[in-house]
Amino acid sequence: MEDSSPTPPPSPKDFPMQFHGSASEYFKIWIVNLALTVLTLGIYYPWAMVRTRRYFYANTELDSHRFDYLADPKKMLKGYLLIYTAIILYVLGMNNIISPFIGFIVIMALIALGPFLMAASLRFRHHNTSYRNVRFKFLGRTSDAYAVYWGYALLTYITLGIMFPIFRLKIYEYIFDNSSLGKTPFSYKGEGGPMYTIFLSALGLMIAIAAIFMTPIIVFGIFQSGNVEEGAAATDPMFFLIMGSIYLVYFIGFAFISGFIRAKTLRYNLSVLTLGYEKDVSFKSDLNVWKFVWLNFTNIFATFFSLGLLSAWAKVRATKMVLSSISVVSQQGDLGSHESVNETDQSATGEAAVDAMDFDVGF
Amino acid sequence: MTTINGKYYLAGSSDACPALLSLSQDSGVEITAFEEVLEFREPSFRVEPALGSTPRIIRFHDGSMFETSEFEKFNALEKQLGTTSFTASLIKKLEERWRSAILSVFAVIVFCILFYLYGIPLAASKIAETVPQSMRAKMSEDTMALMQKITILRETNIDDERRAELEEIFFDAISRTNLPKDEGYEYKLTFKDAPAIGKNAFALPSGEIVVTDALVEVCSDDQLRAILLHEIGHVELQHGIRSVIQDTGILIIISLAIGDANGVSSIVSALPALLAESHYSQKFEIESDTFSCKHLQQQGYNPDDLADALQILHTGTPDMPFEDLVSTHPSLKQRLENIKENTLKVSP
Ligand SMILES: [Zn+2]
Repeated sequence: MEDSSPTPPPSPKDFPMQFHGSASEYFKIWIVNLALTVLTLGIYYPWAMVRTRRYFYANTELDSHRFDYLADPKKMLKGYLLIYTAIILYVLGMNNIISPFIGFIVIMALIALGPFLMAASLRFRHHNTSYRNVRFKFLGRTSDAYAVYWGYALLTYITLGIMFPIFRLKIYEYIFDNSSLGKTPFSYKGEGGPMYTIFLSALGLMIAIAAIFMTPIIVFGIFQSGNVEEGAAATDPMFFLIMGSIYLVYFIGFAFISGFIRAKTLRYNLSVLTLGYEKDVSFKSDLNVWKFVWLNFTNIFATFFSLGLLSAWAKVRATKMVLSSISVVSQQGDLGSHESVNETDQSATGEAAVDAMDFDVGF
Repeated sequence: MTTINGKYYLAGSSDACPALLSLSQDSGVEITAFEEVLEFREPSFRVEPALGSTPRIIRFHDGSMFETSEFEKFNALEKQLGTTSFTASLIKKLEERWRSAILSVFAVIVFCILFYLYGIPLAASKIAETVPQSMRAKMSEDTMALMQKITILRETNIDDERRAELEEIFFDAISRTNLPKDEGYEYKLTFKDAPAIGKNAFALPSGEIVVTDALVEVCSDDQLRAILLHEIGHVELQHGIRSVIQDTGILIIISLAIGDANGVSSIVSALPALLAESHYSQKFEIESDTFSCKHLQQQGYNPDDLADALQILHTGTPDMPFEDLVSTHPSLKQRLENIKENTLKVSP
């Protein structure tokens, strides 16, 4: 593998990412694991989760080497049980079935521990992801997680959302800048300007969608409300029709905007990400934003109307489009040699927590 | 002897080279890589369970690993090694076949239906039994406050004399049901003028029963007794608390189940939750009708009064769209049939 002969300066080379997963194969794996999870009342879930996630990692190829996911389900089970208990206590408390005070304490504990769990989750996830037999590593400090997830969240709240793009930027910075492949560090040089461009255009789109769809509904609603007797509004068929339309617009808008933001941030984040001490490995994605928006849109509808059955197909389809848009560019002409770090296994509670609480991490 | 082509990854670095894998003399494995032959015996290596058509992997105790895509040869070698666990090969077989995939779809559906029809209601009634009266009172207060917000509940216009008469009917009906007294319900009859909900009555978990002026005006005493017994049925059978617990359970399960379908969850979960709630409450209405029927007959009254009262109530409720799908009350026809059935059952 090592080539030490004094050759002329190497020319940059592109390494495209490839995804080999197939929708039908993944569907079978997913549904069997889902059935096992349901029949064991959820106990099997960590095994199913590791297996389905590993399917995606092990089918991802870069420079003819595969990625891998190495997490131990047994370690995650404890974390999941803990988090599920917390969620159940919270929901029961909020519905007055047990003392609301217990629910309150649980949610306060989750909020207090949130950044800690986030950092723990990233450590666990990175530690269990490998490429060419080298594990990734996450070096972010827990105190920095508090600064980002509490500090910037608070700032966003105080400024009525104006700081939101900066909040997102700080999250990406925290995740990417603290990542490494073995001992080789990633570095992330994102800036506020482009982030604002992404979120402001998303906001513009949202307003446009709302204007196009909502105007007729509102006009219709005002027109109709003249005919409705006082007090009868809640049971009036018109009320249902209007609520239904608002719901549908929200659904369409959500499907549209979420795809737009994901595609735009992916493209931007990869363009400012590098790997290596010399930053000689860079990344790029030529993901077509509108194609991805359409794919995301159709995926959400297909999943919804198939009652979840098509979610396996949707996931493979999205992964294929995203991964095949990414390529890794090396100034040296190869992806370099990476040394791994010796370390003990990471706790899985954070991973389980973040997974259960449905956080949106990175891409 | 078969040899398998693959890649050997060194421990501690990303270096890899083409390698050959074969069985060694003493039922271990042999790797030929970097112009060397390395031998591993159990338990110094571990075969990663097969997963779809992803490359097969053997991990060695020193942190190195071998990877190959020559599946057939590798499967043969795996068989000879005899390292595959029964569960791993079973799961792999299940994951490969369409037959088991289709079976899984059915298993999930059937399990969900059974759990929904029997599991959740059973758990809810067990939990409901442990709820003390103090908490039932608190829940009732919250419900009244919520009712006050969405509909207008005004002071009643019914005079004291008539109210006293109806209260007598109410407490007479309760005392003659001979129900266990240790449940601790604090029965109370409240009158409200509430044009928004028309001719109506509802029961709160604490034992408080609310009737609207409109209902009192159109029903006879016997019909009111039938309705009150129906509401007492809701209290005694703990329908209020059970429905809250059931709704919560459905919500927990749905949110846990599609929690990782990021974002879609909140939208997708609302609809099944709504449908589930409506099914449970229809069942409760029928149960309460049966309760009322049984006690009317025991106390020497005619269950036809309940049937008549229901018909009066029904003409007053505004027709909602999608009536059969999401409306709280089951169809009148269904309820009248249930009353007839229960009448025949008790009286000879
Ligand atoms: Zn009822």
